[in-house]
Amino acid sequence: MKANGKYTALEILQEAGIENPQDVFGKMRVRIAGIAGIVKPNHLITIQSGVEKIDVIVGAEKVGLELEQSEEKTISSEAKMAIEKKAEKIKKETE
Amino acid sequence: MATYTWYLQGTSPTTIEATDIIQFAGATFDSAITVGAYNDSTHVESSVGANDSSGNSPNNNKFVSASGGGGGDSQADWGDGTEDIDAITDEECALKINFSHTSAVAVTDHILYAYDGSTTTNAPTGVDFQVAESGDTNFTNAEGSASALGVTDSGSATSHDFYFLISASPESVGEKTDFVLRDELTYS
Repeated sequence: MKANGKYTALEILQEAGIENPQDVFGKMRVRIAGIAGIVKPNHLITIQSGVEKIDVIVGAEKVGLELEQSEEKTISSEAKMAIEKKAEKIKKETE
Repeated sequence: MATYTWYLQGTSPTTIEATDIIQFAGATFDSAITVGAYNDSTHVESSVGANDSSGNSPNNNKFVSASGGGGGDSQADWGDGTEDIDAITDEECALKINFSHTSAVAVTDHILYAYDGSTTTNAPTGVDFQVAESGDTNFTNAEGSASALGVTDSGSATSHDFYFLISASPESVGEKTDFVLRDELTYS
């Protein structure tokens, strides 16, 4: 996983090696890179350029996730899908 | 200590000071946009009317359609003809907002919208305003706080860069001044 990117919470938990990550949302405390109260797997998170490590906390488990550095911005395919879903929701609400 | 800095991007960025105006214009600084059309240029105008971005070839993001692109994506023109907005790079976005803090913080509950300059729930007067975060597939018609663009949460860092496409269209003849952009966020 690279800094200067946009990812879903589920992807970050997977990358951090959390067991059964899809099952923890809404059941356990999830805190990623200082963002608390994450209850949805498709919660979008930007990791800023230059960040070398983020803390992933699930319940009482804390994992430090090292990040590769990249000048090019990454938006994961899962993050793109989450963005598209968000846009669909907004479209429906405004119709 | 927190620092908030807005830029109009271009070959070099132009810092937008608190008293400056982001001018959406026709082809050139101070030129009018036809009613119903969108900006062909974007500038930073000082409080005394000077063109502060004149030497920086400022970027322009022109709204083309809300959902006319591939898969229902919004379209815009940022200098290469009409494209789906998810193809834009951070560097091609007109507006960059940097939020910095002396210690690393996360940024959440971040919204951006236009209002009339008096009441944040009101839409700007006589203007259609469109905004999208870099990477978004569709524009948000962000007029009034209830219609704000929701910006992606940003993980803990001392410096947070946010990039936006911004575009505006007059709904009637005349300069539109009851039109203010507002960015709100929580850091912790």
